[in-house]
Order: sequence, then structure tokens, then C-alpha cells
Amino acid sequence: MKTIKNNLRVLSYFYRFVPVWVFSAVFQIIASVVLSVSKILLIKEAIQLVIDGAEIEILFRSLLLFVIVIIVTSFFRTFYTSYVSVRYRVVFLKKMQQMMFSKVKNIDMESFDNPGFYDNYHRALRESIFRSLRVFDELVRFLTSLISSIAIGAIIIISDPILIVIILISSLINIFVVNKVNKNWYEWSKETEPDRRMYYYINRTFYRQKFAGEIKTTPISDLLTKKYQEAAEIINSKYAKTHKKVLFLRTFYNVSKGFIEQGASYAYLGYRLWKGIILISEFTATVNATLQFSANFMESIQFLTTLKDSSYYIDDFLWFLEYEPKVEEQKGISIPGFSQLDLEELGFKYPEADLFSLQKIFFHLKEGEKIAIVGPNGGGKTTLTKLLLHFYRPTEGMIKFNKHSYDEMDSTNIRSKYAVVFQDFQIYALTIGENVLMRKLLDEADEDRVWEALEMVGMKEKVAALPEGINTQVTREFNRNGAVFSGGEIQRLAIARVFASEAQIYILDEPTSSLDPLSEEKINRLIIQNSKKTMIIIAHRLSTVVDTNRIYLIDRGRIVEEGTHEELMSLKGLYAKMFQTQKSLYQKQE
Amino acid sequence: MKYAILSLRLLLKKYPYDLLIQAITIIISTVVTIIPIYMIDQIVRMVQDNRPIEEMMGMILLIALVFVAANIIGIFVAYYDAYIERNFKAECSILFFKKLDQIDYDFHESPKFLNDYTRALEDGTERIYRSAIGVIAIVRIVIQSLSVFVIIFTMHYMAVVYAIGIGIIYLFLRFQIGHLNYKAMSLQRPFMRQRGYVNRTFFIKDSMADLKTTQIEEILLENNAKANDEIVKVVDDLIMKKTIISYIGDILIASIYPITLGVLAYVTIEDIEIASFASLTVAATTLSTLVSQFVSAIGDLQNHTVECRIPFEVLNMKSKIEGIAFQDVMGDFSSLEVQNASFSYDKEHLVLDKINLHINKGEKIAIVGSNGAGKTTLVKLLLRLYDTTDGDIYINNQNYKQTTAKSLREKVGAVFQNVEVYAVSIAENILFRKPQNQSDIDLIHQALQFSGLDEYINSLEEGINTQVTREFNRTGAIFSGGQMQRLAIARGFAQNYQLFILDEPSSALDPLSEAQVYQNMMALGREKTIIFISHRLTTTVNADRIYLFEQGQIIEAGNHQELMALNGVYKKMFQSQASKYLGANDEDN
Repeated sequence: MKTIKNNLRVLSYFYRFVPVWVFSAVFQIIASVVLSVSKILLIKEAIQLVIDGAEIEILFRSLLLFVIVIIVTSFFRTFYTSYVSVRYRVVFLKKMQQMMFSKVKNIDMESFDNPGFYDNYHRALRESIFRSLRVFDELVRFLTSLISSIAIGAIIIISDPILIVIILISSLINIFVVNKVNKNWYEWSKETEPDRRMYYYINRTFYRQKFAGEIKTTPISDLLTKKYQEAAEIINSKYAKTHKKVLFLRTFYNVSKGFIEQGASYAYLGYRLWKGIILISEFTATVNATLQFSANFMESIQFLTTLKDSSYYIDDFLWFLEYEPKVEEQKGISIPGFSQLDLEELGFKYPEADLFSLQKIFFHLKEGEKIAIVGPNGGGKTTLTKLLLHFYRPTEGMIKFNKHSYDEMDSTNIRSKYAVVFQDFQIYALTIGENVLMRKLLDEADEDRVWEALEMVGMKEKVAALPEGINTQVTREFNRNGAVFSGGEIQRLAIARVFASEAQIYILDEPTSSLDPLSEEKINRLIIQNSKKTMIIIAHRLSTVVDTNRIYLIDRGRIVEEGTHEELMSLKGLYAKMFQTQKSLYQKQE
Repeated sequence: MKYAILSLRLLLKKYPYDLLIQAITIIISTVVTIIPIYMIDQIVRMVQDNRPIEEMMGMILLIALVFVAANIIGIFVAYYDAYIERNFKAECSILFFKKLDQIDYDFHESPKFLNDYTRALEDGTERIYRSAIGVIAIVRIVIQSLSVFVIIFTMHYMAVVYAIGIGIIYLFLRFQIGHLNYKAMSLQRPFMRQRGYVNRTFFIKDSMADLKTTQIEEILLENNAKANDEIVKVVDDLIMKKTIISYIGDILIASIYPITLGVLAYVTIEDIEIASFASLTVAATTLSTLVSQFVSAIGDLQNHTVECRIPFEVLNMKSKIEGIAFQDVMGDFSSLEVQNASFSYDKEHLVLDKINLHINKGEKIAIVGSNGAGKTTLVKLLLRLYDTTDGDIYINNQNYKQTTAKSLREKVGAVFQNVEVYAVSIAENILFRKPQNQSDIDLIHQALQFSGLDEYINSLEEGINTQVTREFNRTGAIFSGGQMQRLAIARGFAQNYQLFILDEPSSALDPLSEAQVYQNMMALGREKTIIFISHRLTTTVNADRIYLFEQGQIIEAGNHQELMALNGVYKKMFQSQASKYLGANDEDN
């Protein structure tokens, strides 16, 4: 019964977004039914007229009437199939997408970092909107064949209720068999799911460009081919087994259909004809109706199965549409400018975790300062960034911006204070200008901002040489004239983002990892020495942080050392050790 | 159409007895089509001739038996049909896998491949199968139709002529529609890609941070809305035409029935054969269904065969490097010589310009230079993914161009910057095959130790048998960037390459890990020859020789001391990286 619920939920979205489509569907269904019924009535009349030796003109009049019925019903049907469903498909997609986008934006980071949520989310989107389109199509077809069968069935009942009983018995056997057959196939698909997924995965892998090099240069292709063959063998042998089981069921069904539905119907009708209880015209019309009914009924049963399957898939999708985020975006006061940032005894633990990721963090930042956060991987540096950006709420302690607690402030306002270059930053298939400004370019002032930022990171010349300048598309995703940049150039574009922004605090996470030495030096100089902005730099390479105002060394969630480079070196602690190790790499080993 | 025939030939080559199976299916479907028509005819005739009721029941029973028998045979035949389908598709896929392995690498880097071929190949086997059976489906429908035609024809030729005439017109209309659909698709495709892009980008985790901290979403949403509007426009432009054509077509097809009925009635009134008329009312329905099915089948076949072009093209591709047997590499690696090698992808811009370098067994060589200087291209040449456009490369004094690529790659291997992992076990990701015995397992553990991954792997519940990626289950191992790089190094170790190339092997590693990896590499001693490619000059200080690349040329070569003494680009680069550590004075100790 979940099938019904899911289908109704999908239907409600269709009704909301594209009511025209829903109404046309109703008309389409009615038209199809009218056509099927008219055909049966026509047969009866035609044969009777022929037998009675009527004037050919009378027959032609009936035929003409039928042709008019065809013209009218085809209109509704074609209009629906060729126009309405094609056009409103896109409208539905558009509106559905819009709704999904606004949904996603409101989901808190905490959910995204939760693997349980993210898995479901991913599955939901993979099935996506297209599946609900299919569900609607299938629903319409199901209703068409179902209502047609009911209408024709009604005609048959009127002329002969016993016949309906015969047909229904056969149909019930049919339903029973179909159910059993489906159960068997469902079990097969469950049993073979891991193998089938492997099968499709290997298929995809061979055809993707990114694996092509390794496929040729290593033995991986043999391994994958072997696994494919193994998976195929398992899938096929289990298929054969299931098919054999199903074979007997279907044989049983065929015997029932052949003897009960066909044989008994013909025998029964033939007897009545022979006895003179019914006329030849009624006999023929009823046989036609029986064939039609049987076909329609079978179709509707098949669609029912498809609907059940589809509704299974859209479960996740519906879950997503109706998901309520746990943590709402905070509304609060907006604070202008920036003078100081204080973290007081900050502690944080991920909701599902046992251990604290950060503990007793004390941290101060004044306008114009350049501070660094260093430490081994997994120490908590990135978590700290997320807390500063208000993606998470602290578990203990507090963050104070210009002496106001984050708790009082508006989330959007908080985030507008920062410009971030993440370690795994994204470059978008938009223009260079949009990739730098991270919003639409509205006027010349915006363009200037972009050029200035590009100049600072040493990309101005290259971009100016492009025919469309900052309006060049990045990546060749859509456009053969899109600009393709090297890894280092892309990193520079990302850094340009912070310089082009209007934020007060820059956070740079490993900003020069892909750059060659000379570029790295230039950017480092630029960042540390020339810019007047407040900066938080997270770096592995300690050469980057030597000139900062203050360095915080975070290890296993705590600040273990704090001070300037000179102070930390004289401490001879972890920082000094790390520095010494890196230094030794540039010295000859004996 | 030629691809349809090719597909059929491919299918029959592998499963010749499929012909028999399809023939049986055709016969059965024809019989099943005729039965209702025949049944009614006989019943009415018997009633009119006042035959005894037992005779009628006997005949009905007989026909029902034939019907059931035909269907049962059909079911069993369908079993073999399904068997063939599954196995054919699997074998076809494997055919493609093997072929892709043997196509020259430059094919994979062409934009054509990226756009069209990936998509086409994914569906390839399905399309080929559908094309093959599509041909058979058409033959089946034709035979079924002929049988019905013959029956109706004996009554009056007009009905058949009309049906065939309608069929032809409908076919023509269908082609028009197909053409319009194709046009609509091509016009829509760029916008659909734009829409798909926004969709993908909006929903991935990596975009979340940007979406929340910047106004990038505005642009993305606007682009999406624009794309959707353009798609609607295309639909509106072309759809009216399509609808009218479909409307006419539907009416024509539906008209077959009443017209046939009319003709038959006319004939019957003149010449009283009620029985035939009665049965032919069913025939008329069957007729219009078959005509419509025939036209659909042609449309479907066209659809499928169009998509077969690319898969067949791929199957028939010729390669110059891959899969061609030249000479194998003689003996273990002893030397590599690059002589005046130049290379360009597009014959215009030289990526490598007269490169000369030599490497002897056991040496540790560093290749440095800024991004885009040609270093990665050099690696591809050393792996013989491409051939030099000018000049030559020699391994053990044998020219690369006379050496079988596969044998080369057993000796020369690379660890790339962008590491790919596969959804197989950790052991298989390292060994590239299933571990067969204890020495395999020992090798894997050694490799893990070497790359520093052993601690992490041992902490996993299933150890080296853990699945990598969450592709198939929720407990698969997911590696960070740094761990992936270590995995790649473990791989290289386990594959036992004699000449080992590391392309930016430690960009994602923190400096301490990087130092570890580097030390381990150097500790491999004189047995392994290693080429480090990096823009990080930590690898150069202890290297036997350094080659400094700039814009495709080697501008400085020698060891660290020699290059520092040159007072050139290398010295500048080294100082910019090292000065913060070593201070301005003691860089060259």
C-alpha cells in the first residue's frame, strides 16, 4: 500500500506544478476508453446490418460516425502525448528543480557531514526528478488500461454475466501467477544486486577517460575483465535458475488462459450461438470484447508491477523532498566591519563522535594581523574553519566577533565577514570573472575588482590575452573555446577570489600546494607582506608561515604551542621539530 | 541499416542457433495471431451449417490445445532467447573492453571521445543487441502481417491495398517526426548539459561551502533557469508541427479498421459469407495493430542503429602503438636514453623540444620545472602512451618504436598525480590481481609498510581485504588525498617496476610524510632506478642528476652542486623555496 501512498504523493506534486498536464491526462484517459468502447459497439452494429441485408448507405453512416469518434478522440490523445506531456515535462522539471535547490541551500552542514544522511541524499538525487516523471507516465497508462478494461467488462456483463465470471477466474489466476513470477524475479535481483552493481561499475570504468591511462599501462584491465566475467557468470546462472522456476508458473498460466479464458469463452458463446440465444452479431462483438478486455487487463496488471517497482525507487526521493533540516540558519543581529575575533575555551565534538575534535581553544585575532594555524593532519584545523564560518555550533565555549557572541548574530552576516580558499576548492563552469567574484558582475567597478585581483595573483596577462578576457568560460564543459588552466593557474584563480571579495578576514587553507617554487614565493610574499587584510593561513609547509604575526600549533584538537616563529623555535618543541625536518629535506644527506 | 545487419551478423556469429529460435518464435506468433480469426470463422460456419454441438466443442478443444501447445513451446523458446541475450551482451562488453585496451592513448584524450564516445560505448552492447533483434522483429511482423493480409485479400484486395497504403504514408510521417525529434534533441542538448551541470554542481558536498559563503548560487540558478527556458522554446517551436503530423498519422492508422470493415461489409452484402465477415472483424483489428507495430519497429530500429555507429567504429579502429607486437625488452633494465626527442599533440605547438637525457640503472633522477613545462608529457612518452614526433627514446639500446608497449610497461611504471582507485579490495588495488598465495600477501604488506599505509590498513576490520570506495557497501574504505598517494606508491612498489617514475607523488602529503616517502624511496638503493618529477625541490638535493625543464626544453642539467654553481634558474628556484628554512646564507651546504 506504500505504492499507493507514494504514487499519490508524486501526483500531488504534479498537480501543484503542472495542473494542465493532470487535466489533459484525464481527458486522454476518457478519450481512450471511449474509442475502445465505440469499436466494440461498431462491430455489433456492422454485423447486424450485414446480416439483415441492410442498405450499404446505413452501414456507411455508422462507419462515418465511428470515423468522427476517431477524429475527436485522437485529437485528445495526440494533443496529450505529443504536446502536453512533452512541453510540461520541462516545466515540471524546472519547478521541481527550483524547489530542490532552495531545499538544499537550507540543509545544514552537519547533515552533509553525516555519512548516513549523505548516502540517502546521494541516492535520492541519483533517482531524481526523471524517475517521478516516469512514475506519472506509468500511472496514466495504468489508469487508461484499467478503466478501459472496466468499461469493456461492463459491456460484457450487460450482455452476459457468466462470461465475466469465466474471464475473471482466468484473470485471477493470471494475477496470482504474475505475483509469484515477480516475487521470484525480485528475489533474483536482490540476490544478484552486488554482482550487478559490479557489472555496471566495471562497464562504466572502462569507458571513462580518466582510467584510460592506467588501463593501458597496468594489469588492472585484466583484473577488471576477470571480475566482470565472474559477476556475469553468477548473474546469468542465477537468472537461469529463476527462469526455470518461472517457466513452470508460466506454463500453468498458459494452460489456464488457453483452456479457461479462450476455450471456455468460445465454447460458452459458441453454445449460446448454436442454441440461437444470441445472434451472430452479438457473438462476434462479444468475442472481440473479450479479446480486448483480456489485453487491457493484462496491461494494467503489468503496469501495476512497474508502478510498485518505481515507487520503491522514489522513496528516497520523496524523503529528500520532505526533509526538515535539524539546524536552522540563525537569524540575528548584523554587525558592520571587523575589529577583533576571540575564541574562548572553544570545544567541539561531532554529533556522532566519541572524542572531542577541538578542546579548550583560546584564540585572538585583531584587524590587520596575519596568523597561522599549523599542525599534523587530522589535528582539527579544518574543523576550526567550519566553526568560524558558523557551519557548526560550538559544543563548549564561545566565539566572539567584535565582542558579540556568534549566538546573537545572523548566520549570513557572520559568513559575509570571511573569504575562504578551501583546500578542495571548486572551479565552476562559469566565466573567469564569475569564478573570481563568486557572483554576477554588475558594473565596471566589479570588472575592475576582478582585474585587480588577477593582477595580484599574476594571472592578468594570461587572461588579458584571451579573446573574451574575463568573460571567457572556464573549462571546456560547454564551449570548445573555454579556457583550460593548469593546476597552478587554477589555484591562483582561487586565491584571486579572496582578493576580489569584500570580506574582512581571509582564510587560506594550503593556498600554494600546487604552485611551482617561484609562483609560490610570489604569492606568499603577496599574502603576508603586502596585503593589509586580516588573514588566517593554514599550511603544512612551514616556510609559508615564518613571517606571520602569530602561529598556533594544533595537535589532536588542542593548541600545544603558540607564538611567533622565533619564539616557537626557541621553545624547541613540536614546531621546531617539524621545521627542522622540513629544513633537512633541502640539505644534502650524507 | 548497415549497422543493423552488422549487429545481426555479430549475434549470429556467436549464437548461430539463434536463427532457429527466432524462426520458431515467428511461426508461433503467426499461429497465435491467426487462431482467433480461424476460431470465429469455424464456429459461425458450423452454426450456419447446423453441425452437431459435439463437433463444435471438439473443434474448439482442438484449437485450444494448439493454442496452449504453441504458447508453451514459445515459453521454452523464450528461455533460450533470454539465455542468448544475457550471454551475448556480456561477451560483447568484453569484446569492447579488450578493444579499448588496445586503442592508442591519443584517442582517449581527444575531445570527440570525451563528448560522444563515452556515452555511446556505455550503451553500445545494448544497442547492438536491440538492433540485431530489431531486424528479426521486423521480419516477424512482416510474416504475421502477410498471413493476415492473405486472409483478408481473399475477400477483397481493396482492404489490403488500403492498409498497405496507410502503412507507407504512416512510415513517411514517422520519419518526419523522427527528424523533428532529432532536430529538437540537438538543439536542446547544449541546454540540457548546462542544466545537468548545475544540477550536479548544486548537489555535491564540495559546493556546499561556496553556496553558503558566497553568492555563486545566483549565477548557477540563473543559468539553470535560462537553460530551461531555452529548452521550452525549442519544444514550443517544433512541437506544433510534430503534434499535427502525429495527429494525422494516428487518424490514418485508426481508419484502417473502419475502412476494412466497410470494404468487407460491402463485399459480404453482395455475396453472403457471414462467417468470413465475422472472423474478419477480428482480422481488421489485428491488421491495424500490425501496421502500427511495423512502423514502430522500423522507428525503433532506426533509433538503435544510429547509436551503433560509434561502437562499431571503435571495434574497427586501428592502432599504431597498442596491441602491436614488436620486440620485447631484452633483459633487465640497464639504461634509458632520450635522444633529441620532440613532441607535440596538435602538430602546431611543441610541448617538448629536442630533449636529451640519459638514465642508468640505480640512479635517482629529478625532473623539475614549473607547471605546464612538459614534464607529464615526458612521462607519457616514457610509458609509450605516445610516440615522439621527432627523435627517439631507447631502452637498453632498443628503440621504443620497435618495442612492444606491454613489455615496456612491465619494466617502466609510473605513479601519477591523480591517483585512481578501483572498487575492489585494497590488496587487489595494490597487486592488480587477486592474491594467489602467501608470498603475494607478504608483498602487499611490504608495499604498505614502504608507503607508510600499513598502520591505517591494519586498523581496518578486514585489513587488506577491505573494499575500497563506498561504491558497493557502506563500510568500504575511503582514503584522503594523502592516503591515496601512499596507496599509489605501494602499488608501484608491489608492481616491481625497474624504472619507477613518480609524478608529483607527494603534493597532498604533509611535509613529514613527504620526507618519509622520500627517504623510503632513496633507501631502495641501487636496485631501483627512480625518476622524481616535482616542482618541490626537496627531491633534488640528493639526486644523482637534475634536469630543469622550461617550456618544453631542458635548460639546466647536473647535480645540485653543479646547478647551484651555475647561478641560473635552478639556484633562484631553490633559494625561493629553501631560504625560509635555511636562512639567506647557508643554502648550498
